Amino acid sequence: MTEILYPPLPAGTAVSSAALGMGEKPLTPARLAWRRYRRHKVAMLSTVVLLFIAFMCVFAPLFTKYDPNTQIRANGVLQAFLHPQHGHWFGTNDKARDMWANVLYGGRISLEVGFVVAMVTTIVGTIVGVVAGYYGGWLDNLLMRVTDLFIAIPFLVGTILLSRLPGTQAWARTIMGPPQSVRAVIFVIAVFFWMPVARIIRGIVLSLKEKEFVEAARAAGASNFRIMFRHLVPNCTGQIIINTTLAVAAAILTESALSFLGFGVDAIFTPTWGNLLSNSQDFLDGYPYLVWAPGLAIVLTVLCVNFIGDGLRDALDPKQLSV
Amino acid sequence: MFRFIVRRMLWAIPVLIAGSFILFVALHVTTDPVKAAIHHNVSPDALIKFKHDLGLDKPLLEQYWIFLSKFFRGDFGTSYTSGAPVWPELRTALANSLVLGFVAGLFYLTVGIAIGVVSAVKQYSWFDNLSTGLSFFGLAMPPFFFGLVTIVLVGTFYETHFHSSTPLLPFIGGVYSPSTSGFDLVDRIKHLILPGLTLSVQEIAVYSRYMRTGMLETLNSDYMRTARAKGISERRVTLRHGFRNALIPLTTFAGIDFGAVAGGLIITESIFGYNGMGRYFLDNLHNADYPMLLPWMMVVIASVVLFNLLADLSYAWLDPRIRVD
Amino acid sequence: MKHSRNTLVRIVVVLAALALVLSACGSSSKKSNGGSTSTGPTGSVVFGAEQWPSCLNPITQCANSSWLQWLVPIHVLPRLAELDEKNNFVASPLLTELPSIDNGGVTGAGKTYTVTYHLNPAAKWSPDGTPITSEDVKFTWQAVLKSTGSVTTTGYDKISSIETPNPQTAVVHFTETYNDWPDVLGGFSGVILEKAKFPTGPNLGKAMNTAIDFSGGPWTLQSFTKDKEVLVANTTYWEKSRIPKIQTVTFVPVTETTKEVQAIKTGQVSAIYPQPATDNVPLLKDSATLKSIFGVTTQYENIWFNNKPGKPFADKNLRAAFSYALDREQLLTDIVKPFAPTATLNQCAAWITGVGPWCEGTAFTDIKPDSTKVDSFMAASGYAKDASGIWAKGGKQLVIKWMINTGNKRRENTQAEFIPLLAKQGFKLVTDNSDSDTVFQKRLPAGDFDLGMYIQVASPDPTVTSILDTKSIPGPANQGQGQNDTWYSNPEADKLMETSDGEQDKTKRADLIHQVDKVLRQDYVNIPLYAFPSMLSYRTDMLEGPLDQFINNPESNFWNMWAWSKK
Repeated sequence: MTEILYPPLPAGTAVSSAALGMGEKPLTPARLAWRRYRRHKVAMLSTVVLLFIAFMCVFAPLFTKYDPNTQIRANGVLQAFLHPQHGHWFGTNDKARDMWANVLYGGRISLEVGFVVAMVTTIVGTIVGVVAGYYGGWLDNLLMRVTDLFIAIPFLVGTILLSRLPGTQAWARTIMGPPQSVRAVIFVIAVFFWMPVARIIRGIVLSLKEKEFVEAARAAGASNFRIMFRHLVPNCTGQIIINTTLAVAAAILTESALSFLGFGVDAIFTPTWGNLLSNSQDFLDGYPYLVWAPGLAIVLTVLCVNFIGDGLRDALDPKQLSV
Repeated sequence: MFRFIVRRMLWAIPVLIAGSFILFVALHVTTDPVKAAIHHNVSPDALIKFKHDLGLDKPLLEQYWIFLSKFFRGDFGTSYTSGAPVWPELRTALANSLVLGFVAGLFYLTVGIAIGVVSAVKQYSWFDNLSTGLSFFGLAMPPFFFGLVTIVLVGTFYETHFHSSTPLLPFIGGVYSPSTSGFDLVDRIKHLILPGLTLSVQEIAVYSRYMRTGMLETLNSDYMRTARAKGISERRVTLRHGFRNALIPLTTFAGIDFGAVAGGLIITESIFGYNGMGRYFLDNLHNADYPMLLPWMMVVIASVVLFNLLADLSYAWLDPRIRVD
Repeated sequence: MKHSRNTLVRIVVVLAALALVLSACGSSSKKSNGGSTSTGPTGSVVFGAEQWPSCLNPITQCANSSWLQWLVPIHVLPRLAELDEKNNFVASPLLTELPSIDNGGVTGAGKTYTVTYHLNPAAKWSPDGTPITSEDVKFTWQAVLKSTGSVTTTGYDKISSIETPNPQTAVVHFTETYNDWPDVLGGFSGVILEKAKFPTGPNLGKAMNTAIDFSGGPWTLQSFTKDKEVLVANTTYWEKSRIPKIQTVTFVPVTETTKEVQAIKTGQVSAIYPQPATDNVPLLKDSATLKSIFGVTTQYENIWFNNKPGKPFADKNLRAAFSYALDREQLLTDIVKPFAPTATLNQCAAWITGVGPWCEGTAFTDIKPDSTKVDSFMAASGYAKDASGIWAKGGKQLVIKWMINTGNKRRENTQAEFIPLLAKQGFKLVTDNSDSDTVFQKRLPAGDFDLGMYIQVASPDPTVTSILDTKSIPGPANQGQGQNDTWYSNPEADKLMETSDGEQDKTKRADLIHQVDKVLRQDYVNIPLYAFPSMLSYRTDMLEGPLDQFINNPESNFWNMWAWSKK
């Protein structure tokens, strides 16, 4: 944390200095990017930390002997609000469950929400962006107006109302799963997350589609589908990867915000960092350790993901400096 | 230019209609004003009368049409719950949200831009590294969590550790302290500090990053080198060219951000009990008060469209290379 | 380019000026509380409210929250009958005596059923000093029926006319025997309004949003906004014993638990009346300046079975088996006692032990864990445990959807503890929860649950017809507005409930109610848990007086605010 080091040279120069090494070995764009990424020390460190966090969550049973939903009892009495101690690193919460085990297992769901939302919204956003940008005309107009509409609806208003659907409509339950299930929450967040990607990709495609290689492909008889997804999309890879990364971080934060408002993942047998934090926030004054554990997990993960995004931007999109 | 503005304004109308219709349907599907009104032990007859009083026994599309036609004639309707006209309450909430949004906005833009400029001019200095680290930290902090932490910090934490009998800052009473009557600027400002900080923690991070990037980009550009070569002092170069050019893209972001203020403060307002558009939405959603919620939606969408337009116009105005149309 | 620098300079100057103003005025904002030594009410205090009503009108939908009653009407508006500490109807200061059969106040039966009220001649409206008369009583009845959006018409629609032979006498004629007459224009939520203030007639649908400018109670309402409510002592109240000792009481909304706890711990408010729970009681332990006292409300929490045809619990044997599987005593010990040590099990289906004579307190005492009974009831319905130890019928596992509203820690903790415990006995329960608005506005009325856990209010009148009889099942006959959300239906119970509703003799009625309870118990209608606890936390360095007089009626612990004084 204390050493934030950005690439020692402005990004534009970084490309040329990397290009200087071309005499030794032919460098593919991917290798070039990796080289630049490696120079971003904080991003590298973040990658290691994030992988470590993910490892701990996925292999949670290696790090705790408790099941997250087991209630700790001593002589038949529930042991709620135990202070941090040997065996219970973060104490036990009001449900008499081991907080450390909950944070580990909760990470699985939070990371799942983050990654699935990022994947789904990237795919949807990319498709919308490419189609709108490539075809143009009324289709572009229609898709962009729909995008505008989704942007105009306040994010939390949309998510709150959508969260209620599976509880009130049978058809929505079929699509989204039971109310406040992981599936429903992922669905709800994803519905309001795809618009930025769509706009960015559309912008790039608009400028790319006049380029020679597209003309060439068209002349060679390639189908529209092939041009879009074999020629145009690969040229947006850099932007797509960067935005996917940032969406992971944003989705994890959004999940916690929804939990705070009462629309997150049902906390009873499915801990997530978000619902652990919002369940514990009432105890900030009396039992702060219940808050710090999930709070730090969220902050650390989002921090790492953002730094990785920063590093990727430097590596994949050298024209643009890190934001 | 004029045509562009008119076209964008006209475009707002279908968005307004579509947005309010979506909300109307979503509300009907997920809430029930009649059940929301039940206290206890109410006979079915009373509920049937109540439903009729509110016009809820009419067909759905007719209900929506009644709302829409009234709305475009300037009649915002009356609340299901209180029977009071919608507009005065909506106006108060909007004004309060705008005050909070603009005060916080002034704060986070000033601080964010200042940090961004210094970070860019003194790239890789300890200040740059520290502010970069802090801004990433700010970005990683869930806002509701930050808001609650500030309450405890100025509350019991401050009283215990600083041996005080009053909290550092007030956090109850919403807009004013309970003992205040009438307008009191100082009290008003005090009540804006915590919600303002909560709103700002992420925004400062975002704007300082944008500003730093923009400054670096311009400072390293060819024309800046030319300016330096001409012998203009570094200070002048930085402020005159770098600063101004870096501000241009920021206007767009700020415009879009402020547009969202009209509807986007739900978490902060509910934590601090601040009587703005976010609390207005949650309270009326709880009562399933459709006549209160639909105009709210209209105002929010209109504000998003309006501020986007303003952002585009200011962009064009600041950067003569860009032309709207 | 000078332009941008100047702007920057200007911004800095403005900010500096703001900071200066802020620091300079820090001292001037301190308000003194004028410690006068006269005998009248003195000082001002601030109390916190967990919920905030959107408007004040006590007869329209505004009145749908208990907090509205606790904030305004019980302090400001007069009523005919009022509730005493034991939830019995007594005469309010507005009446000379409570009508009864013995004193000739209640006469007739059926179409001739009549209740005659005698008003206290000393009763006066503040601030105008005009007497409160039978015309006000009549007007209020009309207002309840004629106001657009009124939802409290229950009982009022059973009145055929109100006669006003003189200003102090109101003769209320009912269309049928109506035992719950004290709840009409009285009780917890009934009020009397001042006719003279509403010259436009009795449709008050749009009146009293943010102001009630008359008072017939210990307090007058000075102002009400989204941010606070100010009550001022009514020194001209005719009931001298209830003239407040505090001059001004301000209520502020503190809807967020962390903030509520912080507000009282830092002395920004001097009393709160929160729902006790695991997330506030441990943080509000008694200290040098803080005291919390506990009592019970007139609300009871039960586990409710959905009897709707097609749902698993439509099967009586299953209800019986489940009743004998759940350990109520353990639930009380693990879930409720940590924050309400004095809580006890409730033993009636829809009444509360100790509130009125209605609950005998014996009907459900034998509902205890009993695995032999569980097994035999399950076998009787053709269930057998499958290889994984779960009850199944026809090769299909029995899966029970248990619905609560998320965010309620008490109910969440119940699910967290008892779903695994019940699984050991072969009951496979799954959580099926939604936010509270969805639960109470949509899913409960739609019958979209198998098992519920929620609170009902035990009204002083013991009728349970509206939540348990066949007629009240939501359906075409009542346009879907019936409130028997659990679809319980038993002709025998229907008949007993109907007879009890028409029985005027209190002893006979209690006997009928006990019979209803026995039938409900035979049907395993629900699993009674406990009367819901209540709690008042206050600052001992700011308040004194009879703060710990807990009451068994719905009026909250702010009911006797007039007797409190500022330290």
